Amino acid sequence: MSNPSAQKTPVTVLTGFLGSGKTTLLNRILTEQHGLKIAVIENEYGEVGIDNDLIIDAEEEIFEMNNGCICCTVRGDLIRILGTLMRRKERFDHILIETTGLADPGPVIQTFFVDDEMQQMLSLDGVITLVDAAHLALHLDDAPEASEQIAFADVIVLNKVDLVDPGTLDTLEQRVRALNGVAGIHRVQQAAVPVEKVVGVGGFDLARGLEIEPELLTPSYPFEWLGAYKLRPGSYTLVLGAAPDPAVNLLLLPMPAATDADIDAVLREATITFSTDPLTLGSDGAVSASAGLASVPLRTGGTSVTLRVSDPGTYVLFCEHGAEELELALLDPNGVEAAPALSRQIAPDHEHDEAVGSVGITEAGELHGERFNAWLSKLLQEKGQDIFRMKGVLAIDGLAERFVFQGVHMLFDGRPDRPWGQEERTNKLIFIGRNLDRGALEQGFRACLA
Amino acid sequence: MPGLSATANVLSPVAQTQAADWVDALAFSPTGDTVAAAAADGSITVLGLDGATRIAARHEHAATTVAFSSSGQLASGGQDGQIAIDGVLQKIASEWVARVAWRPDGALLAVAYGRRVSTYDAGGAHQATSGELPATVACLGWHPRGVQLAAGTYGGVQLLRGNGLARDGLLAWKGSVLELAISPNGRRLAHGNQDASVHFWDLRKRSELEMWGYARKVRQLAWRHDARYLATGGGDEVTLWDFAGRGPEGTRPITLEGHDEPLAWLGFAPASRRLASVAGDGRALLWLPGETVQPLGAFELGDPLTCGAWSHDGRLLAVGSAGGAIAIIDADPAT
Repeated sequence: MSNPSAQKTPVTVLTGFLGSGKTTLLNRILTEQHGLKIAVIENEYGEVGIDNDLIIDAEEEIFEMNNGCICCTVRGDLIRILGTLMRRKERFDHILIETTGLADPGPVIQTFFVDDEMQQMLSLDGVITLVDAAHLALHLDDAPEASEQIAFADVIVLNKVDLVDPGTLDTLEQRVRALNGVAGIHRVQQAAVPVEKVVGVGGFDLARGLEIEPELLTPSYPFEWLGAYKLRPGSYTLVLGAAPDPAVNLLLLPMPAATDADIDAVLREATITFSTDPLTLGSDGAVSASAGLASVPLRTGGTSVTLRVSDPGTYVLFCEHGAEELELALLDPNGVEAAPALSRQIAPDHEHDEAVGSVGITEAGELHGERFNAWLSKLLQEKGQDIFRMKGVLAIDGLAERFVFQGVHMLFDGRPDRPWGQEERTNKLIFIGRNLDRGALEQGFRACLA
Repeated sequence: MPGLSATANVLSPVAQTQAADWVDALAFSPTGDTVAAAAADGSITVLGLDGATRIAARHEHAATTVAFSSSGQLASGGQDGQIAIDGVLQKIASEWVARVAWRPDGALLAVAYGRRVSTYDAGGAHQATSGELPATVACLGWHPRGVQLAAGTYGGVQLLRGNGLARDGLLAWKGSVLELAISPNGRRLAHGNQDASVHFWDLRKRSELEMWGYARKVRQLAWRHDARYLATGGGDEVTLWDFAGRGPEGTRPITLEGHDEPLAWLGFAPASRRLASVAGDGRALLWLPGETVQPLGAFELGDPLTCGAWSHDGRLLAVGSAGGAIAIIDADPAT
């Protein structure tokens, strides 16, 4: 029998702090001539009837599911209201759910994944977060809910931009971008965002492409500087003029030639070695190639450490801090300063500056399906609470189609999509959440490559 | 039709009519000659066996619940916060009315709305209101002797005294209760839950038992008159738990397969071994659980069925549909 609910009604979730302009946006959506029949669920006054403007007031009731999954909290009131709303013969083209100012968007979103009726009748279209540009900085500093609402969003409406100067606005947008690397950002005044920018965004549509901000794809490294030197056998002296910390970690690795490509080839080895326990150098100790990570105690007034080279060749020195910061110089056996053939200043890893952030990973190559599945299951089990949103397009070994997936906390939804065809088989995924460890995510993901 | 044997009788309607919208709930009058239907447009339609149709009340928003008392009084409730007793509407709350339930003697009507329960006498005069419960009341059930009223919420089942509605014990359970059913002998209470489980309580020993493994949330529960079997939904299959001896702990349930869409309603015919199942596949099936796993009879409507009700003599079955159809079926085929 044909199911009358086969055509799913899309749902938009509208979040934002009190004063961010949600009511203005709602009124705009309800009064604008867009030809859509929209039902709005608000949530301030308790459950009352549906009035002529198709506005329903709901009192938020958070239900924890009794299945041991702490992340599976849902909105019991929405299940009740939407369940009966969908029984009306007069169906709506779209449903808009407004959350309270300080609401965590998680339970609202999870409602549409966890409840069987909701899944059958409704499809989540997107999370829209309204942000008051004049107060955002304050909210981000004081209320963790503000960053969470931004992190969950598919579309971020930066409202009241007329109240801040352009420079401040750019800084704000960068902060928003650092929290959520995939959402679309619209700068508006008086919540004047066109309806089509907030309704029908397809944020939970698996088939949609994944556009990740390039800077989010920049891998993070546990070192801030590297220099490639051509060295002859002998004892070099590394002079460190400054002592910003009690000790600094150093690693010397051999490489075939001083080219960027050769440096890229050893970056991974260096990253992994930097995560091992360093060997603390004694006063007569020396750093030598491939001897592992060395921790060099720093003295105020300057430190000298021996760099021992047994074979001639090109070597790359990785340093936990920048060369300038350390006032680093390498002296050859004759005491002459050796200049690096190539050096790189690496942006420090800012993951700890903002507790909420995005980690994007892009990696060509075939993914081992079972290994990836096992890794992701374990990751969601252990870190699901901290992972707000997750999206990806994967190239699974042996699968002609792209595998697309998305998740909210511990809930996960994925399936094969269209064939790759001529497109390069590249894995792209993004995690948005709290206290994400970029290094661990990258390493875990790479271990799943076939 | 999967699971339907060639011997299943095709049941035919005795009377049929059309409500304006989705039928949310049905009730048979004690005499068995009329059926009342609550529909999503707010109307309470009364259909007679003779096919005569009238509107008993009109709620401003969707009508959610309807019940006949043992003396034949018709009560209903809706999302407009109103109840109607024999066509007389009164606004009792700003919240939606979730359920109305007559005490078995027909003298008191319990109404669930928001986080409270109130009682009214047969004339519609307010009698008592409970304290605020921790969450919205989803379902109600009277103890067969009328001494106690059970209200299901997120967090368990609150027992209230029939007179005065004072709290009279909490069956605490960490989850969302969607439907409850007290066994006709008053010994057990079963509730179906949002997280696809059914929970049983022995009301005297206060022991409990949890049954997992349902495909969906469970909103369909029906006790047989002798309290031997509890039929449960939560998916396309009917699952029956046998309470004979020490059961159902450690027993395998009986499953009845015949529907290919989720069940909407289950009911044992009063004083009978026959069970009716009503589902989204547009079919109502009759069963003899524990005796045969094939349906005895089938009725089909070209529209998903949403609810059902038995006549008190167990001979007529009423069904309602998503499209607003109401049908009374002769459900006493020669067996």
